[in-house]
Amino acid sequence: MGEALPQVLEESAEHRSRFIAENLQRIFVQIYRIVGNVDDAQDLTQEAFIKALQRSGQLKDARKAAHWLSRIATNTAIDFLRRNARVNFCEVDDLPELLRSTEDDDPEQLLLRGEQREYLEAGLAELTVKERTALVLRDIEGLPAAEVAARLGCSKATVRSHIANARIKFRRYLERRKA
Amino acid sequence: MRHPAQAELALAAGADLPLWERWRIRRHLRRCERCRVEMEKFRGARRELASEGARLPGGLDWERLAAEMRANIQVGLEAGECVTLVRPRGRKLGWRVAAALASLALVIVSGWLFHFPGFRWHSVEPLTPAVTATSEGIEVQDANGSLVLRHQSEEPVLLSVATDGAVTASYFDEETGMVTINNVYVY
Repeated sequence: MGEALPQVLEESAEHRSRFIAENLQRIFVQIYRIVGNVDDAQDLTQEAFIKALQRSGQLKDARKAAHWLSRIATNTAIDFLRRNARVNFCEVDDLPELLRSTEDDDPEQLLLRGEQREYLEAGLAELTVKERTALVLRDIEGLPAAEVAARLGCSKATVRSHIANARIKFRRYLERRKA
Repeated sequence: MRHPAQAELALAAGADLPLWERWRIRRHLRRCERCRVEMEKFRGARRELASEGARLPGGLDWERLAAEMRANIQVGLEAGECVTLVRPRGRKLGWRVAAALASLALVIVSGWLFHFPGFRWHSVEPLTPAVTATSEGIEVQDANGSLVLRHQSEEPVLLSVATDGAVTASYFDEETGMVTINNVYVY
């Protein structure tokens, strides 16, 4: 894309189509990893693109378009979770929750479920919404913890706690799956 | 030897600990094989998540879904454009439209009043008597009729009108040498 991206996005349907085509899959996957289901991810992806293209005049630097779009996408997904799942990202889960043992945690059942679904999704599905969101932003999107804290609207210490819990759970899931 | 907590190792795997704690863990790992293994497992899980996390979920017809999303985004943008085109016009021209409509309404109502068959302007008969000075004399009119007090001379008459409704006619009779003054009052 050229330097004058914001302007051409507003004026040219061809540039808009190209911008959508180049970023659609990345943004869809990003939102899908946060919300955890295809239907919501589809709606939120559309919403994120519409917001971004309607506000493309606010984008000053064309080189930051992809990052800017990602930020709109994650904010859209986080707002959705706050609204619909009533998630408070600033509450910290207790550690004992990590070690709970239920019928669902039986390795055989987990393995069976994992075979039925893609294993990564099954692993992320074991996390709470807060943990999953923090982990996706930190380890898949590669945002620094401070940026994750800013997007979730809570302290860095709280985000670290979410990330630590999520990594422990996800690692255990992988170990069970491979066992 | 005191081992770091699992949470600390998990954070250290992504360099998410504050500087001092990071240094402390690194120092511990140099001496502790068990924690190094633990740490490597966290790093492996992190790598796996990063590489697999960007892929599309399995069993998804991406082409169909992408086409549907592209079309919906287009519709959403067009709908948004319609809204943004209409809104400023409404805000900017609102008072002008209102003024034009008010003027139009006034014209229509006036036209209807003047051309309505049952509507006519009538001259209004005076309800109280009126006094008028003419070359013949002073005439008093009311709703029932009129009364004229004729001048008795052919000579020019001097007429004067008072604010209380009285009219005075003065004239000079050459034959008799007398001056006649007629005052007519209306109440």
